[in-house]
Amino acid sequence: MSHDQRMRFFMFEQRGPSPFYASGASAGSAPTVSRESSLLKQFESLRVTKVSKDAQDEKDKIGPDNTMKYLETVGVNLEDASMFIVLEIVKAETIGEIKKDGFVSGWADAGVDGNIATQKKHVLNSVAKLSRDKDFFKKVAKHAFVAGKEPDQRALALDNAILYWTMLFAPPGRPWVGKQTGIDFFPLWTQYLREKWPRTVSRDMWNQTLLFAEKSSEDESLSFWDEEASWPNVIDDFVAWFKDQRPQDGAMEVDQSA
Amino acid sequence: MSRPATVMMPPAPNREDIGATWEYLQAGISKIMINLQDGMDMGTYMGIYTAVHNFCTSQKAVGLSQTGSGAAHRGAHLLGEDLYKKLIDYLNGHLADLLEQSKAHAEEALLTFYIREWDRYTTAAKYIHHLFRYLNRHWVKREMDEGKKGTHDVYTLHLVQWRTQLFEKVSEKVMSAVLMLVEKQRNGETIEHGQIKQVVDSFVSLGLDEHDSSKSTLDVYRYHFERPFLEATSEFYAAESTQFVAENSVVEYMKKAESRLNEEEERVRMYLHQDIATPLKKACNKALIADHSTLLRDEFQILLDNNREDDMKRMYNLLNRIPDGLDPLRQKFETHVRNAGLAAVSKVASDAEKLEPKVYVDALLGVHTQYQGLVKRAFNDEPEFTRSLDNACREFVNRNEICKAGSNRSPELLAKYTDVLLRKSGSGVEESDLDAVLTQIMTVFKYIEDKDVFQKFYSRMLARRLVHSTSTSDDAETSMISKLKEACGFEYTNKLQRMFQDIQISKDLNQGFKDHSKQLSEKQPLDSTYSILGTSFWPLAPPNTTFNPPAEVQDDLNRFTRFYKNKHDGRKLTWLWQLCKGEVKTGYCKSQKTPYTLQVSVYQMAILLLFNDKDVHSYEDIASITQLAPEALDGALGILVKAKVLLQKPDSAKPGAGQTYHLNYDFKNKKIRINLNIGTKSEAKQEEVETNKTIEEDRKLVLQSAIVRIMKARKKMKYNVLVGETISQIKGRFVPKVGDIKKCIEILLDKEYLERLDDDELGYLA
Repeated sequence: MSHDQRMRFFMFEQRGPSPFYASGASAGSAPTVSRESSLLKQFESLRVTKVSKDAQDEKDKIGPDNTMKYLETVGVNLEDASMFIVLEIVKAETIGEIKKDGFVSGWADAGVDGNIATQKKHVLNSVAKLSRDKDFFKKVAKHAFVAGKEPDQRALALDNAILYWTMLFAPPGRPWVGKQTGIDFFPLWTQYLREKWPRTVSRDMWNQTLLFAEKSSEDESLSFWDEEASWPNVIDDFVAWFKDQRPQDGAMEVDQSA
Repeated sequence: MSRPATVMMPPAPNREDIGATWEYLQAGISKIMINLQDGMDMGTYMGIYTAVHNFCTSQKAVGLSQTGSGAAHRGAHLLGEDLYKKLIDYLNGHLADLLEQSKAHAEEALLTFYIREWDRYTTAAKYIHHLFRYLNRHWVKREMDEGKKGTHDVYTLHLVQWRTQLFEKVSEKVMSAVLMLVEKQRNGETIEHGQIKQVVDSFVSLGLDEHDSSKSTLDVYRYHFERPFLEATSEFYAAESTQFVAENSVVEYMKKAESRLNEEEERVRMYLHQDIATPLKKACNKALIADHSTLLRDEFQILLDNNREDDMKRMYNLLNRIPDGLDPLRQKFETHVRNAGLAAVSKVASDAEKLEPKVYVDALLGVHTQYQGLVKRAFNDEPEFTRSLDNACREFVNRNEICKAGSNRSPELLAKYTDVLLRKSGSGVEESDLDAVLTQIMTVFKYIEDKDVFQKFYSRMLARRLVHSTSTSDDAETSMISKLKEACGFEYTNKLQRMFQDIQISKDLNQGFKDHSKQLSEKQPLDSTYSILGTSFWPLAPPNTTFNPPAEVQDDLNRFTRFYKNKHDGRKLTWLWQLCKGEVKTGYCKSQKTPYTLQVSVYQMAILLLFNDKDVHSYEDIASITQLAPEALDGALGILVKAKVLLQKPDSAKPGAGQTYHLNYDFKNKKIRINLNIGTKSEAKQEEVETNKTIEEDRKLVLQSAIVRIMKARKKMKYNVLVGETISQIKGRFVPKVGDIKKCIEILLDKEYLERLDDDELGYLA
């Protein structure tokens, strides 16, 4: 008996979804494989493009300059909500960086090949959908928090939060405006936060703000709001503050009509 | 009397002669019906019996009511019907006769007549029933088997005829006679109530079930007796009570009502049917209590104010008889007790700052004891009243004039009083009475909403008692801890128990250390005791000064440290110098032969021992040798200077740099043992402030851990349900605000212990 026979070998077997066999609507079929390889190819071409000597992208990542360039190529305006559509698709964890996994599996899930023209078309359709489809808007806006915050932090600085909200709550996003009276909530919200909220914006506050914006646009009397319900404190306080402001609004309207 | 005195029996008829047979039978029935008292011989009895048989079996039934000869073949069937009808005719005649006679009587005489005739009639009915057994067995049975309604056995037939021919025509008159009699009795006259009972029995007997004659119903009795009786009763008491309350006090009225109610119950027992008991009670309750309930309730406050226990008991018993009668009383009682509690507190609250804990707790207890006694004696110890008492006590214990200054005052003062009781030479309470007083403490404790505040103060004071060995007795300490455990659970007293155990364990440890020292046969110059206190159980902080212990004790300290490390490797020991103390003897005083014993803190000891080498030390020297921070050093020196053990030069108010300290050889004191280890008032105040400060912070943590615990168990929960569950888990400790719970949930969301799910649900993130 040789000593070798007692030996046992261990190897890892990767069972999770690999980028090459991503789950999705058309997982496993031949076109998917070719779609992913086309995306992989596209990713590499985006990555290696040298902008300058200093800006060499790391492996499996597209750095800030190339990311911006790519976003513009697919028809995104870096100053409005459309930017967050693409960041959401490619699962960007920060605004200036796209990772390979997210890029390939994200576009594949969306059913789009590694082709600028198709991607551009998809983005164009999505931009149009943004203001119409509130669930789609919420999905994109929720991801804005993930992409917008510093990777090592839990919360978003207030200034940044307001900046991203400004992008999201304006066309082509969904303005935070009351359906009946056309009251524009967003300036009030920012005014309130700047006066009364010296803190950061947590994920919960971000998400609840989106929900509150959606509900208050549909029902600007805020009758859906209930002190006993689970709205975060900041929204409870905003509602109280807002209701204090209302009589003044009413008075002003009377003045205007007089 | 129109009726013949005797009835002569005709000769026994020929069995073929139907007409003669009936003549014979009728004479027999009349004899039984009218003068049974004269007796009946066997021959007649048998003759009648035979005649019934003959009548029913006669084949030549002619000349009777049957039409046509074609009916003859039906034999006994038809003849039976003839006999039955003839009997009815006879009874109707008899009853019509009685009805005529009844008209001559009224009131009691009518009752006498009715009862007499009823007796006679029913007795006769029993005989006739027997004599007509043949008819019963054949014709009646067949008719009934065929389901013919209106055919009864002979006895029942008698009752039915009585009811229809006589009773329905006289019952009203009979009843009014009964009611008149009852009214007489209610007005205090003596009546012969046996008559009423017989009338009742008669009315009950007439209740026949239409469908099954073997059963009886109370319908007739209820309609003809109960209904008018109850009406009359209601009327009577409505009138009487209205008049009575107009002329008398409510208290008098209650007595009257009480005795009336008892009377009516007695009436049912004496001569009424049990069936009337419930409706009669209801009618009386309405007329005597419910219709005057407002008046009664208005009086309640006056009775409470004057502490009229018997009258309150009476009112309770009366109002307890009507539905929802007591609710307004309970409300008034609750308000009254709360006000009494608030007033008792106000009385002692004139100087809230200097308020003695005992005075405050006694004020609270006094009110509770008084009204608990009232609930027991006057309100039948009823749980609902106890609840009102509890509500009231909870209100005035937690929200009163003293609590205005700070809502923590009640638990704080209660804990302080407990400390006074459990501390040596504190209260003057005998040890044998101590447990009873501690039980009273628990009475107040149960009403305290902020039990966490009590716990904080209690644990600090327990720590002090244990560290300074000032407990009255270990038994009393254990007893109190187990009382708290019983009220609030294991978790509440866990730390208290561990503190207590630490001291017990330390005792054994010290014994071990002594033995160990002896084995080493080292000289042990120091009589030392060490206590090892578990960091997380004791509400103590490490000293806020550096300290270099005096060389005289350093050896012993080192030896103990080695001993302990050897026993429990890896445990980290931190000296709590601020709690250490000792005794030193003065060998230098000129005035005294026996040395003084000074009880000092270890800081003071370190200072004093310096004077073994030199009589004078500068402030700076003392500071550098002892390594004490100025605050601790100044405190220790201050007391030594104040007690004139040391003399400070130049003489000034406070110790400080530049001053020198001289040993006072002329030290004098009346006592041999002098305690110099005394804390200052400001220190105690400081501690109080600190205790109060930590409460809010601790509560947030308690809330968060409760929320996490609930969510961990349930994984998913609706927001509102979680808030409710949190309140119910926490309220044994303190009453949480919904807003605070909300904030804690938000904190946990931000920390990602929880996540929001759809539809206002929260999820637990492991």
